[in-house]
Amino acid sequence: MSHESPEEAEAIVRDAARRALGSRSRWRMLAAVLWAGFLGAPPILLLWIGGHSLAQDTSLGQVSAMFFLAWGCATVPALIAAVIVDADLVPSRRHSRDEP
Amino acid sequence: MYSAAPRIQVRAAHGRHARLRLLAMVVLLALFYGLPWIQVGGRPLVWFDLPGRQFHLFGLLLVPQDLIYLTWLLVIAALTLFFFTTLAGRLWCGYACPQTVWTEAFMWIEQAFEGDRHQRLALDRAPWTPAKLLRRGGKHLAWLALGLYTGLSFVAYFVPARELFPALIAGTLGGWALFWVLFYGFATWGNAGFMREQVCKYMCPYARFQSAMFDRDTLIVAYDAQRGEPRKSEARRLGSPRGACVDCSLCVQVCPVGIDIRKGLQYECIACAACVDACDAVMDSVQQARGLIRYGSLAQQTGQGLRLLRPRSVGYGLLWLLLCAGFVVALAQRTPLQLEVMRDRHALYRQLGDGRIENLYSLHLGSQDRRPLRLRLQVTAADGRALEVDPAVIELAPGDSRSLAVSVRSRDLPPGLQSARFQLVAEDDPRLHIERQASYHAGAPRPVGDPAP
Repeated sequence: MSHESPEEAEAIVRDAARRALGSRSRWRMLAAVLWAGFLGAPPILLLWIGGHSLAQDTSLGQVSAMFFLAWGCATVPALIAAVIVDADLVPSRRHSRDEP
Repeated sequence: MYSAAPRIQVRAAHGRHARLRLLAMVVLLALFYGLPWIQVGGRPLVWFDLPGRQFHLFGLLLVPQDLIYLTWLLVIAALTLFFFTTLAGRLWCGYACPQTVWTEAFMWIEQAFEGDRHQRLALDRAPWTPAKLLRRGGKHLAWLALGLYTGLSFVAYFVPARELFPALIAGTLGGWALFWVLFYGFATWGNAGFMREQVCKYMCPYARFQSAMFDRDTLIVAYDAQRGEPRKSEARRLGSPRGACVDCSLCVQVCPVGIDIRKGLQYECIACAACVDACDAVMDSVQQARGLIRYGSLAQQTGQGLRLLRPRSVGYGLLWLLLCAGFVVALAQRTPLQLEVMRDRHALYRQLGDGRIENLYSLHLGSQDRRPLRLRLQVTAADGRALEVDPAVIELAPGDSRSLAVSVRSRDLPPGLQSARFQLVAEDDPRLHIERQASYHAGAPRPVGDPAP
């Protein structure tokens, strides 16, 4: 077992924190919103399946389209949450910040 | 020596938690890849037939009208997650989450092609040579193959595997099925091969709200700072007796999310306990007691005991038990038949040439039984008299759901509106029955002196 210098731990942690989304706040927010929507879409789809829209014959294509619609719907609350959390996404606040 | 890498090069950990993680990975992957192939009675054991609007779950046939059961199952699954998170932290994240399981599998492939952590770091720094190209290319090909097979297996939950795979080989796979195979396959490749800890740290909402389920008695992976500090290097600098931590950095090297657990509880920690295994191995080698990094609660760190039974865990547990018991009872009492009776809105009743009174109904029938059913429809008036029904026998295929026009006729019933009982009974299994009440109009009262027909 090789033991290495303590600086290695700090370097790993520092680089891990900076890697990919770690240093890109906009992309991080977008990825989080899309992923939260993706996880939220199946329950929405399940509820729709119980509804009238699937009471008739349905093709895999229609179900797929419904999934993407559900994904889109599910991103809305995630997007609202993201905007509330990240003040930088609100244009008026960003503008006021830019002012001296 | 470490240098910035395009991804965290995780050192493989060995120990009881690593074995547990490997076991969880093997079992869960075997379930995921194997379930679509298991058939019972000619049907897949698990099959979400979305176009057919049927869900086959371990011998249970659910239709859209049974959505309550699926929702119930989702609620039970969520509560199970809450319960275990309250008790033992992010067990789900560390051992059972698909992101963790497939990342483990992808890392295993990576190690097979590119070697251990040091060899991978060296390969990262090395110029592009045919050997590097071969190793990297082989790894990506293996990742892609596993990703695409994962995509195929995922789609096999919606299109039976025994139709899907032959269709793929024959090149007759439908456009949407192919789209989902590729979508899921590339998503697996991207998430487990490249994104890895990024999904857990920045994208997954569960990592955010789990803190609401934690309390001081929740088991977390924690570093015993009292025992470990000051570390070897710090003690040397201070000239004081050193703690148990030898500052080998192995706990950080094995961490799949790239954190230093010695800095305390961090939201990035997925509780995989790889650092526990690494630290235990080091403690063994320096002949010190294990457990410098271990599963423990915040309360334990302040000298209190481990409290598993507390209001929050008991509350979640009781609610979980109630929901599970309710689900089992509801399933046991569920009649795999559906019957809705609607009167024809165009006419209250009709008097036939022979004097009989006819009422028309629209019946909506459904079967969630796995057998084809031959059902007898019986209608009785309020006074118990059987009425004529046409059709009297109805056949339903498994999972079939359809509407049917039914005529009910009576003779010599007291005129006026009264109730009628519609009963649907399986001919070969009288226990399988369902009944509904509806109104029946037996005609207008005859004027005084009008002779009976």
